[in-house]
Amino acid sequence: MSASSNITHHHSPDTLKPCNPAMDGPAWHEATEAGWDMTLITEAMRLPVWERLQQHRAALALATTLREAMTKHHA
Amino acid sequence: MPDLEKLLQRLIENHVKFVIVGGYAAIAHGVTLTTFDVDVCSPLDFENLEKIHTAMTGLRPYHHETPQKIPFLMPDDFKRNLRNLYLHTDLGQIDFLGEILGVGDYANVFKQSLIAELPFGQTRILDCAALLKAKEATARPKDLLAAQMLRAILEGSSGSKPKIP
Repeated sequence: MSASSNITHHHSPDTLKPCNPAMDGPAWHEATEAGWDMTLITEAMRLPVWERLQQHRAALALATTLREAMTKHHA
Repeated sequence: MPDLEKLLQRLIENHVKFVIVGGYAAIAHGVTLTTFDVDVCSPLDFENLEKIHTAMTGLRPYHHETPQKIPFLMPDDFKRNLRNLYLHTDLGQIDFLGEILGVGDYANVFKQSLIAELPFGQTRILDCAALLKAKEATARPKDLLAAQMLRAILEGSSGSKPKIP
């Protein structure tokens, strides 16, 4: 099943599920004003939890690579 | 590189009682920050500690808060009447917390958790409202950054709509 075909309400009873967030509230605007890229958050919220964690894993791999490169550079 | 998913898989497969909290829970809710470790809330009684110990088999776990890198051994650790257990393993760092500031002990944390389906089984994740409370209660700069996103996510998901094709 694709991620998009699995989208339902976020607050289904007791289960964390993908959702299409409402983007017109004050907290959303506040986060946008603070500089957060809310398109990335919207994309993440539309994904099943496992896919969100896999995206984090990819980011972690990049961060680890950069960290190692900086360590070598400063050695 | 840490393999946090494999750590979770081991906990699930060994029937450890736990709820994912902290930065990793925030990521599960959609926060776009990166974390190198995973925090869970767990009862640190003998039965659960034994399961944790079994789950960590072969991962050379040690207490990462100790400069001497003291190995995680049973039943020695139980005798210490642990409130928290901070472990470094070959798969990454995992902190077992007996209670969460702003939320409470494991029973309270469990009540305010949601089920998440992972390929290797179900797990529990602190819900967005409780996680926000915890982040606001801890109130370190990094927690307040996550809290700002969590507030937006909580608000956005409360008014969420099914996707229109």
